[in-house]
Amino acid sequence: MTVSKPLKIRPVIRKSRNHFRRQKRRCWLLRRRIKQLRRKRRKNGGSSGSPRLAGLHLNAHTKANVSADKERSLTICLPERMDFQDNYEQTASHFAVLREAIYSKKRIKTLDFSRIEHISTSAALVLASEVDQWNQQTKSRLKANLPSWKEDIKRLLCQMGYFELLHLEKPSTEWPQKKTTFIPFKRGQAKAENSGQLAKRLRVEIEALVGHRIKRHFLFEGLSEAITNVGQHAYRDVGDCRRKQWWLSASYNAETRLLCVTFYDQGDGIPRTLPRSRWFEVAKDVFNSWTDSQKIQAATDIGRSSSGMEERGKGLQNLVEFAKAHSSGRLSIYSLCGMYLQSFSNDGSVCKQTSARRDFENSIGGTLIEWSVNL
Amino acid sequence: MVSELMKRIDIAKDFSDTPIGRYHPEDGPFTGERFREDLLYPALKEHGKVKVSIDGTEGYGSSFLEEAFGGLVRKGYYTAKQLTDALQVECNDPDFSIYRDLIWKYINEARRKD
Repeated sequence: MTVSKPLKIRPVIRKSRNHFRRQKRRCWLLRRRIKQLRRKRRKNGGSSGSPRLAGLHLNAHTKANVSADKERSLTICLPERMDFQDNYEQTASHFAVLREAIYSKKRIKTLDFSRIEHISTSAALVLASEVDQWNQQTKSRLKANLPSWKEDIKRLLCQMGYFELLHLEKPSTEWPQKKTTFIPFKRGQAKAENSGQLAKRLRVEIEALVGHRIKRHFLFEGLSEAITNVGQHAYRDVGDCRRKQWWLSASYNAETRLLCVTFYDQGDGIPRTLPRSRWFEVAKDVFNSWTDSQKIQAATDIGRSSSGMEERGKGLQNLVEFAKAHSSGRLSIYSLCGMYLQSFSNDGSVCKQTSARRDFENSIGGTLIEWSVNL
Repeated sequence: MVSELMKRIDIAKDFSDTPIGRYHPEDGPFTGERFREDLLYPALKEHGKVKVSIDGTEGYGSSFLEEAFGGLVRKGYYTAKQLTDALQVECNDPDFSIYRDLIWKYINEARRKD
């Protein structure tokens, strides 16, 4: 006697109108993204995608400057102008290639500095951080072929503390003092006991340079939040605290009385870490179409947090205070492919604020925060 | 017996002149959480009334202040109203008055997490 299986009755689920609307929007966003990727691929190197050399992704800015020998040892020639403000794409592209080479453990035979004619403080900080990471990963030191460097670049990197940070032999030349003085690079790491003391030391060195007290609590406020963010958000997938690093530098021009403080980390970036908040769940359809610069602006202006907790997300607003507290000040935040800039000018009791955003093709490889204030 | 004399805590002298970060030990040794759990909350429990002096440090980030003071309400230790009676924030440096205002803002905005 056979026993028949019980008849399965599947319930009829009526899908709402909103469901179909959401599906339609998702398809539209996907088609748009595919079009953007195809356009980018065509721009970079035809249907085969971006050119590759020894496994590295190159683009129009780096193709001519990166070569590999038979043993796939790389030679990377850095470009003439390294400046995020005036030559962002070329500068960021070269750093991206260097970073990719470091993390995929390629052999770097030569990092050629001979062509560099100009390097900004922030570009020098990012360069130092990349070379620092290379030294730590390979447990060796990238040698500096000093005779090939331009004299100005040698002087600049020497004054910025490049050689001390990387434990390289410093050039013995004594250069005359120029208008801009630099405070040597500092490296810190998340959870370190001395993070606060490093920030305090920077303030003391700045005041020694400037010759008078500055609005130290605003500077500490901004730096402490930048340092806290590194530990909490930037390196989410990195378990080893020793790799959760940040770098810091400052410069002062006695003629223009312009003080610049720069902070950099090689973490996941604000645009990538921020969308994992509760707000993202609610606004995700709109958020998906937002650029990196818009996300940085949202994080700074509104105060969101990747933790999704109400009590958090106030840190980026702290960064603004140091720039706001002076007669004129500027805060620039570069994170991944976006940049958001806020400028302030204080005319007595009125504080005027302007802002600007920009998006780039190449990522800066983390988050770079620059404060420029007139003392 | 709980002492009713007001206990004074000077953050710069009794804790750190560079308080930084929110959670201990992830953010370092001188965080808001550690200040709250090791100094502030025990003092409030023992003495009932505490005066906290915020002068003399390098400054404060919002993470430290929110966790140290707002955390008293979020952890369910006190309500904002109770803290109005039990807590005084002392500030003689005019540059630091904004931090005193922020502390009370975080206390009033904090909501208890159940």
